[in-house]
Amino acid sequence: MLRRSPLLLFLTLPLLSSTPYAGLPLWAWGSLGASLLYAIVLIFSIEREWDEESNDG
Amino acid sequence: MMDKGLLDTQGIVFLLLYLVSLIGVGIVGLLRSKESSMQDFYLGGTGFGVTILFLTMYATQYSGNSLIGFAGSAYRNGWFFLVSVTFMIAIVGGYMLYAPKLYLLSKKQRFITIGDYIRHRYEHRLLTNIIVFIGILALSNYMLTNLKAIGYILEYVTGGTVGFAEGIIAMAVIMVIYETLGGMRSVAWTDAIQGILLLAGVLIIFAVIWVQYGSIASNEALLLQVKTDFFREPLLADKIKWLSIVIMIFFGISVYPQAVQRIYAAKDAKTLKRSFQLMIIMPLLTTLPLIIIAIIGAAHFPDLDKGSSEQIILLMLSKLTHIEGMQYVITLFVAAAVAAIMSTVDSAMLAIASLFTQDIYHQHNPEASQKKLTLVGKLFSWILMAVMVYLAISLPSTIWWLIQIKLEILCQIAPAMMLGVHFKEVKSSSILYGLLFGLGFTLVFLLSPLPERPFGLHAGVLGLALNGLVVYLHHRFKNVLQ
Repeated sequence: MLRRSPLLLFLTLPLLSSTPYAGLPLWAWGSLGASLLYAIVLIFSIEREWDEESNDG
Repeated sequence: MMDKGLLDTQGIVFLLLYLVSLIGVGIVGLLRSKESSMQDFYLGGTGFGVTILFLTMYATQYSGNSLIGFAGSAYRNGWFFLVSVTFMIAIVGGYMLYAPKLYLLSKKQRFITIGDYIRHRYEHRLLTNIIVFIGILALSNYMLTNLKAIGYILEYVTGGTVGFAEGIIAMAVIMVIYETLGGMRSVAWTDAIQGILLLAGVLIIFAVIWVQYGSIASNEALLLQVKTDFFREPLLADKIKWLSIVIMIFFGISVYPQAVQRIYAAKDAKTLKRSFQLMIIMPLLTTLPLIIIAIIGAAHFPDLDKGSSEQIILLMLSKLTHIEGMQYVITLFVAAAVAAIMSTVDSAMLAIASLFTQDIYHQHNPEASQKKLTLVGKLFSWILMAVMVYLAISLPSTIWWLIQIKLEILCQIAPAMMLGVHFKEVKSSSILYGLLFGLGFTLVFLLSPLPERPFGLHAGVLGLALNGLVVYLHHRFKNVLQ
């Protein structure tokens, strides 16, 4: 997961419409949400896969 | 000269006390040093725990540009600058492609610099020299831009009482004193103070501005009226630009030589792991609040030019001076900005001095004792700082574009770092050819009349793709070529 997690960065692209919602365009909420998801995945995969990564190969 | 500074006497006294305390930290660093060796001086004896390691990584990664420049960019580019939250998180993803393995190797081989790893892994002098040179070039850029920024800030907040050149010289002398006293120990400990100041400064200012100027939601109508471009539909060109920025920073900043040294300096793997996990959260607590502040600022002060937009936070705070205690918040902001800049400059200076001493001087003087090498490194720091101060004061802004291209060049060393730890069979020649092609391609686009962003992508990103392709093709077909 750690090595594949950068693919989540594609989800952060401004893909949604610009309809304002609570002061932010919808695409900004989407990008922020995807960045948050990437952050969470990164934190958990570092926790689970660090040892495996450092010893692998 | 400006009429009135933003800092009152109390603020100036606080700033002076803070600066003097940094020299005190340098003296403590000297007293705590265990031996006169390169490992002890440049890596603090490789004994940093989570608190210090995390704070030094944080303070080093968030430069003066993060505090001043990011706010200015967010003011001008609106919500598009949320890309900075993404890329600041992504930098940790970049580290994860090589740091776990490199850390283990660095403990076994007692690495001090990025050059040590390249030399050990590839046993190729030219490749090592090119990578060390790129590292020094990128770090020099960091030092120069941040020194210039500190000069402008001090001149502005003191109303010209401290001139641009005087500000740079004073800060440079303080930094070089505490750096040569205690090396990495002093730098990391002062970084820890600076990191706390930076985080506290950003969060307190965010709270003050949110309360005084209103939330994003309450400013929506005003923003839609004065900044309609913040709400336009993202075009394909915007999406390509977003992707290009994220890729360049993912591969560029994660291989900064001073960041690599902090990987080596961790006490153990668990410490390093925890520090990286904390670093992932920091863009949400630092970069995001700065963007929100700047966008609220754009709603209230919509007509600033580029230069003024860089001072949007100070402008917003200066309009609140009628509120009791606001002078303390302004002082905190100035101290946080100065701290962010100093922590970046001192780390870059330490990394350049170690690259020079270990990868250049030591290679030509293999018999030199550890004591002599440390002394050479200290001496070099003073000379380096003097040169950088001179350049920061005298360099005309017309040639600044030359040193703005650092990341596009720096990301070319990512394949050497990242592929090197994972694929033992990749030879130095494949990496060298890839690096030369990637660098050559990038420089042709950056230094000629050709477009700097072919197909909307940074030349450095396309250069990196070419770099990786050449490494693959050379590795795959090297036997046929021979």
